[in-house]
Amino acid sequence: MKWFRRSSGGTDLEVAQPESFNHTSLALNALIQRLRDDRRYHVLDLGPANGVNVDYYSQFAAKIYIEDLHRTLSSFDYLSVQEGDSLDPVFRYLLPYQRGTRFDIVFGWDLFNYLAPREFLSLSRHLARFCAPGALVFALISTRDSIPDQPGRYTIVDDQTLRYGGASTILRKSPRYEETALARLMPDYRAAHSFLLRNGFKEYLFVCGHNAAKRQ
Amino acid sequence: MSMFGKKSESDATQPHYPAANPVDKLKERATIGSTIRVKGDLSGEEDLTVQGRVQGKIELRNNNVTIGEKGQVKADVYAKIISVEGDVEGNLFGEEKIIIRKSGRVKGNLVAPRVSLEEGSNFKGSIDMDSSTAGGDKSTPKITTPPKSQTAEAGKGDPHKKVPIPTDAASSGGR
Repeated sequence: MKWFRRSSGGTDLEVAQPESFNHTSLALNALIQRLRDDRRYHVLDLGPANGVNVDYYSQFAAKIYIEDLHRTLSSFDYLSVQEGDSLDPVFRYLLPYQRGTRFDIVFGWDLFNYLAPREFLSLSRHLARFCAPGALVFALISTRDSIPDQPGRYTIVDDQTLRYGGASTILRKSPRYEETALARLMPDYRAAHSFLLRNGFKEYLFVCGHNAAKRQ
Repeated sequence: MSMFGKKSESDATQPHYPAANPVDKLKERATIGSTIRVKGDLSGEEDLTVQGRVQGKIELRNNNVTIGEKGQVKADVYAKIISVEGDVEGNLFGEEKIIIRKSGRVKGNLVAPRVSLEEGSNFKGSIDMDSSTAGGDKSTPKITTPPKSQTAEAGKGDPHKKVPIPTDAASSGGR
């Protein structure tokens, strides 16, 4: 990825080249390798609806949930949430899954880079309540200083290839969540695999169930 | 020349059917125009295009339903093939297929053996392609109705609505 600064002189507004490219995804491949042919899975996709991905999931999914959570959060009015309050009720409201819902696979894509730490923590705790033990969570975490100001669009090309489509040419500051921060913000998960990509993102495959059983 | 004459004679003996068969007429497509508003349940035996507003339930299990670009539907829809080009808030049950076009916006749950989301379409909800619930088994076509609580919760979580955040310990409804 190449970024260039549109304006220097005090402003941190930057513009990225609009881009779209394929990259090899070892974490996706690791996820696919763990799937069994003899069962169907419940898949949660936190990104926007993508027909190609839905077609792909349909090979192994019994049910697919599409949340487009960044868009939902962007337009959500935090009416009664005070600064410092837990955001757990917000995610219970925005993602009101029925009791008994159990996700086996969660595609978080690069969404977590767009969440403040307290949003990240509340979301991860909320999802852990609905993840089956051993559920797999795919995520892309930026290691760079800046990221596009909107999450990218990821399309699954095949079992080990993703196509990234930039959703925005404006850049914003990246939270650069590191391993220790991820461990704190995702207490119910452990990283099973992580791979650093050339574009500065780190692919993770998390496994749910680390502390989730204690919270049930 | 005589051959032509014979053929002409044979043609003359063919019965003449009326241009529009009454059965075909039943298969005509009904349209709810853009200025029409319907509150209540719709059912019948012909294809339907909705360009207006419908609130309630649309049940045309043997026919196709199209929600046109101007259509705004707040209803559960049961049909053979459902195509969405406009706005839908509700659960869609397609015996054969559900298609959300690039202009389509759907918030709700989809149940069908095949689902197609076009690039640019806007969808939030769940997709159930399990043949036992979607009616994919040709020998026993079947569409199941979700529990009432599930239907009622389809509109929950609307980010545009200003509502107080619940503070109870766990959500009991939802998808």
